[in-house]
Amino acid sequence: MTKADFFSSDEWIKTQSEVWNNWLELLNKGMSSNNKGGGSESNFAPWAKQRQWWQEAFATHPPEAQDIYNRIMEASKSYFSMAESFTKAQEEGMTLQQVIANWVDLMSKSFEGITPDGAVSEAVDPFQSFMNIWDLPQDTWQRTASTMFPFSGDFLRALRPEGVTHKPGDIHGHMDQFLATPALGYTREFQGQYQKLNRLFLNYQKELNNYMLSLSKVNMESLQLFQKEMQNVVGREEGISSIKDIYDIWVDCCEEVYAEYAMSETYAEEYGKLVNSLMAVKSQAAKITDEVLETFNIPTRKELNTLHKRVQEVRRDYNKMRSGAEDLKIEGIRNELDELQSLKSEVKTLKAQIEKITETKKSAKVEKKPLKAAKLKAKPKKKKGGNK
Amino acid sequence: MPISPEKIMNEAMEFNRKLTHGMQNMVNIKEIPTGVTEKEVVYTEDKVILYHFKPHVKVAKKNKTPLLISYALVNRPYMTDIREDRSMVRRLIEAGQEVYLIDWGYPDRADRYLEMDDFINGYIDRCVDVLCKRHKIKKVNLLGICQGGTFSLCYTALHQHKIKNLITMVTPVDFHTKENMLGHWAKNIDIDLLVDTMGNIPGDMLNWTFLTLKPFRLIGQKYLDMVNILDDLELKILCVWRNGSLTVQIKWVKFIVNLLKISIRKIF
Repeated sequence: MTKADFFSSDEWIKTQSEVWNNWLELLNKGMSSNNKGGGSESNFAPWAKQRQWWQEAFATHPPEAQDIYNRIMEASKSYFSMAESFTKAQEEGMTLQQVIANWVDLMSKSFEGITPDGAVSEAVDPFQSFMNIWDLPQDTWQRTASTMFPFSGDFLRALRPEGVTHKPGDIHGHMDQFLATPALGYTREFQGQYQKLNRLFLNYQKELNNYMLSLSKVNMESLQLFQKEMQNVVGREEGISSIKDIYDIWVDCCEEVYAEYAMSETYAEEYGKLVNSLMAVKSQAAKITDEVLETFNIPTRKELNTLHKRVQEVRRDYNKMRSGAEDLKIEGIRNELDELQSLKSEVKTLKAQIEKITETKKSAKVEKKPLKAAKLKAKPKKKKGGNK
Repeated sequence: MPISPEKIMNEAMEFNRKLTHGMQNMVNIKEIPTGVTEKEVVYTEDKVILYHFKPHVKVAKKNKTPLLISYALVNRPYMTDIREDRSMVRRLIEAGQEVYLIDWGYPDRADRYLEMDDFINGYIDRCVDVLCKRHKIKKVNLLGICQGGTFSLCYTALHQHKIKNLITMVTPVDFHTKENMLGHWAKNIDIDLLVDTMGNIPGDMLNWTFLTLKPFRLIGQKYLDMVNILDDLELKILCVWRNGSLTVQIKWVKFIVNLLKISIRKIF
């Protein structure tokens, strides 16, 4: 089946009709007793099927397109989940204020079940897909961090033990103590390097947990702000006219609280520690990798860095010399031009002198001629045979 | 009109209709165009390419001084020429301007030791010289965009005799503002450790940093709103730009972080 056929096939139409039949059922019959307290996806099985369709259609697309698709799907999931929960509650005869109060209450209870890593406990979360938005900063960090490790972000998340705290006697303390044991024997240096890596990794996890826990507090505060904002909005004449309005208010509240926190000293410290601890792990891992590569006689990152640095220095010198040569060339031409100029002016001067001399000679000639004539005039004529 | 289950139902149906239509469009997306005006390579050095845009129209009056565009290292320069009706390059050509653009290319680890001096007194200076030689002139017009604007400012300060006019767009100049979130975050980062460890800053890390300025809006709400405009090509292009951060040389980041740190010291 081609991509274009995906949306015109019978099965697609069937899935679409299932989605809307479910909605209509929900609207007409109200919330059935067996749905009470159920997962948010209970009425959304066809929606999940629809997602699967799109997922398959996008499977062969470039990663950028898939990323956009995944993000749109995640956002849509939150939106549909919100729409469903509001429809259900209103069908039970609740007013909008009651719906919001009920919803906020449920979410507050969910926050009580937050795990030390800041994730919402699924067992107590009836709005799991709706609340995914709060995981966005954490999730994005995990993805980013995983690009710097040789293992995936899921691996990092899964490795986060609940006991990683500052309290004495916890897992972190024991691990730290264990990893601080001096290495012995022939491979002690290598062992020491690995122990250091593990200690740094535990430290990174600790900083990551602190960061996530702080973000969870932000979520809780944003929830309180949301409740307050909703009370204000519902009281107004224009009120709330769509689910999108509620979603937008919710996002605004999250952003407002987050912005305040992100500009705090606590955040700057936690953020700095998070990045620094990640860099420390990465640095140590690179050191160990280099040592392993060296044993196999494979060029290491350190060696390549040295080469790159030297090449860059050579290039810089070359460019400097090239530029210098260019300057010299220009200077040479300039000198030649200067010389030419001075020669030109010399020639000009000489020409002027010659002209002057010529002029002088000419004028001297002109002056000489009348004198001669005058002399001739003044000379008395000799009488023929007068002296005789 | 207050919200009701029927209203929610209609809203959800409308949303799903748009989503389906948008997904249909997205499934059929082909390669996204990057740059529409014909251009020629006039100079290359390492990964840097200097392009000259060929005029697509005949212009009666031409500006004798050519324009050199210095774009940001962290993004792709084709954003200046994204499509025919949204092309700054085209409008400049139509106004009688000869347009040149520096494409910094995709840096890798071999470029980790490039410094500010290499960019400003090296690449940019040599590109300016190429323009001067081609047009037999002594000065060019320089347009710096974003990070390229900061480069251009530095360049102009050092080589004023080669610049006739300097134009900067979305250029960070004042790193001392109180609301500077990035500066606030950077003050506790061990920049030397970052430099020694990473060499270059990965594009993913830059994307994450920019997204976390407004995470709920940029990672969540934006994509929900996108459903309304999924049939618009511009949106896809914007997505390309938004997540198009490239890996950048650490020295540049170090320069910026140090500027941010200086500003922080002055504020606090």
